[in-house]
Amino acid sequence: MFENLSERLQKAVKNIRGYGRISEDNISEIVREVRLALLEADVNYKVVKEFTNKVKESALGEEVATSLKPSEVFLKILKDELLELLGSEKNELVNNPFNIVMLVGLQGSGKTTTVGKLGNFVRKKFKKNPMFIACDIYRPAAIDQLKQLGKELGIHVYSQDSKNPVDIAVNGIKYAKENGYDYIFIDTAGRLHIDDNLMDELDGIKTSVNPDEILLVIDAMIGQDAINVIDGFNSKLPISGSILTKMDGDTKGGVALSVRHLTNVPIKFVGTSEKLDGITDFDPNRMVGRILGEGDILSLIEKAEEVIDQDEAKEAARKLNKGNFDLEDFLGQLKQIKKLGPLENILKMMPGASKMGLNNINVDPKQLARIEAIILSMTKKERKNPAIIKASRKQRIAMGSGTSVQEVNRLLNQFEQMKKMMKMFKNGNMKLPF
Amino acid sequence: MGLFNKLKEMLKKEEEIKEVEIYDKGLEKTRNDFTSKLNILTKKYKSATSEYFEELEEILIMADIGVNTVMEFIDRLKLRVKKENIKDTNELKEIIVDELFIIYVEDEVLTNKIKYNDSGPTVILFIGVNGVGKTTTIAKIAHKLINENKKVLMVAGDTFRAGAIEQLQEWGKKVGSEVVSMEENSDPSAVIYNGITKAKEENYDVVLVDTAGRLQNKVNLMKELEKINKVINNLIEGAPHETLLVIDATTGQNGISQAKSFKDITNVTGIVLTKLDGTAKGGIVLAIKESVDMPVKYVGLGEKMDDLRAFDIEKYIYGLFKDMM
Repeated sequence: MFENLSERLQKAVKNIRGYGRISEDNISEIVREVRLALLEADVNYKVVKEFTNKVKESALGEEVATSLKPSEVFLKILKDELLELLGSEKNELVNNPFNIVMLVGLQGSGKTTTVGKLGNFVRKKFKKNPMFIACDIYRPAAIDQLKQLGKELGIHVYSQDSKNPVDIAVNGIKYAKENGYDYIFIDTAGRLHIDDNLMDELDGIKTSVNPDEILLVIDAMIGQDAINVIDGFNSKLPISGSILTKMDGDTKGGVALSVRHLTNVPIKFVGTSEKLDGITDFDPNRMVGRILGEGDILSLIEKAEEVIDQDEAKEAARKLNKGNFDLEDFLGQLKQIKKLGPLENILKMMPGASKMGLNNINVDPKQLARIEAIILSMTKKERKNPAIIKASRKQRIAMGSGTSVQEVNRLLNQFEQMKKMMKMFKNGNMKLPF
Repeated sequence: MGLFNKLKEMLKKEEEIKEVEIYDKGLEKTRNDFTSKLNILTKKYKSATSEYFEELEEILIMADIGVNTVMEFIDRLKLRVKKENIKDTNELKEIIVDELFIIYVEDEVLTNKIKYNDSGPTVILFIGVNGVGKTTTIAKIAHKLINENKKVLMVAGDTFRAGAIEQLQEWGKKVGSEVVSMEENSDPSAVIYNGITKAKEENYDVVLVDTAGRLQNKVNLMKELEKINKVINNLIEGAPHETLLVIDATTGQNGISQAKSFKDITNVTGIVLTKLDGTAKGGIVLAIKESVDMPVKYVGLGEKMDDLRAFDIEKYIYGLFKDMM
């Protein structure tokens, strides 16, 4: 997310490095660069205008007062102004003893999938017992879709054969209370903000079940119409937050920079993959870090803590230290890494990722799967002691894993090298890079 | 002015009237937004000053016409104003419409008709990112073709998204078309293989192939699309005869990226622009045309079955600017 925007803004900052000081002349050129970058990212035109004016003003005002380099000054100004746009606080999802959250949005923005992800989220994070209510009676198979998600997650889905979404919602809530569910998500049908009948229907649901939150689901790829959509929903319903979906595309996500500023609706989550754990709470500070290429180490650590088995990791570290780390352990590590999700997402969180060219890397998950297949085709004995793997064993392993002897060789070589490096660390011949 | 009169004359014909009405209604929102802004601008500035151009730029960018397209457009306009010594902004208003039209047409004969296969089933593949309305579009096109007495088969190639197969099956029942499907999470190529084989054996006229939504930067999903293409081509030479990229009209500049990436992987033959009725924008039509040169073949102008229309630039322009004619 934000890659393109990030690259262009960083380029603008880099250009400024060439100047000894910020002046009326050179700042105009750079601000023009920033303006184009933001417009191409679909940031609302008015927001761009305001933003660039403010940046220019502060940059000119600050030139004398400070001894920092112009690029540093400019970077700081960009950072402050971006934070101003995004709002500096994090907005948490409601967490009461009993909660009702309703999701609304245009067709195809990703409401149903998001309901699934949020159910998973509150169960994990808040230790709640979630339930879904299927109120999208219009789109064919929308209820089936939610039921399938529910089945996959093991979360109950309330639905009924009715033409009245208000009834379904009311009965669903009653059912939830009777059966001990404490976090209820209501999935509603996609609708245009200008469709008065359907908007009234949402209002009907709202009035009868009185939700704690109404979240607006927005496709991050939306263009300049975003503001009309958000205003449209917000003027008829008290929207408590927004969720930006499909942020894992190559969208520049300009809507993220416009929503909060123009409507005061905070962003609560962003959707980051097609998987059911592909949702992240939105933290403006981290987001700005990403936009300006400073990486997002905090999210990376959190993510790692979430999925990595601490005991297993400690055991692997102990073995590493003793120098008897074998392919069995390697396999274990590989599985942990896979839990972190698509590797390219992880790489993008690294500071300076775009400078190292890591932002556009595509890691083929099949590559990891092949390595895994090769190791799995080895016997326990071979994994413990790869040295015994000679020609005929290699052939068997290649056959078994559907790969080639070359690939088996490559893996074995890489593993050997890795072990050598580790020995060097251990013997103190080389300093650890951190 | 020539263009306007020509359009008016042409669209007066009896059979065109109903078609025009649908465009008229579907584009109401865009028109109100765009033309009223342009009218206000024209009233505000009697002559074409630099403030006039700046505000014009804002109007165009707000319509999601790409940033580069707009910048070049404004430059061209300024040049024309200078060369033809135009002072009155009223006069300029017509030139703006004229120039926008030129971006779209740009010396070529528009081929927005579907290319049919004369010697067997015509295969139309539908691709696009998530949530743009691929499945619904297929249903609407099936409905249209069935009304034209064609034997239509739909193939549920989206085996990934929960409920996608059921969605197509329900549509199949509604529009009266057979649907070929397999269970969820099976290989889409396998379903498509079955579908096309069936179509060949049972002499279907048209096969409409649904695919899972994929973001254009996901390498594996894009590779899967290559495989799908290969499977189709192995069964029927020259197929898919049409590969239609479905784009949501509310999409901003990312629409350009979508068009480019999908074009790199597959031979996209046209675009279906959905949900045009809900947006005040739709400028993405022009942006895509200018940056990747792909024709729009269908536009979604409403939720009803008949609201998916073959794209007609003249009616589109009329729908957008009729208040100014």
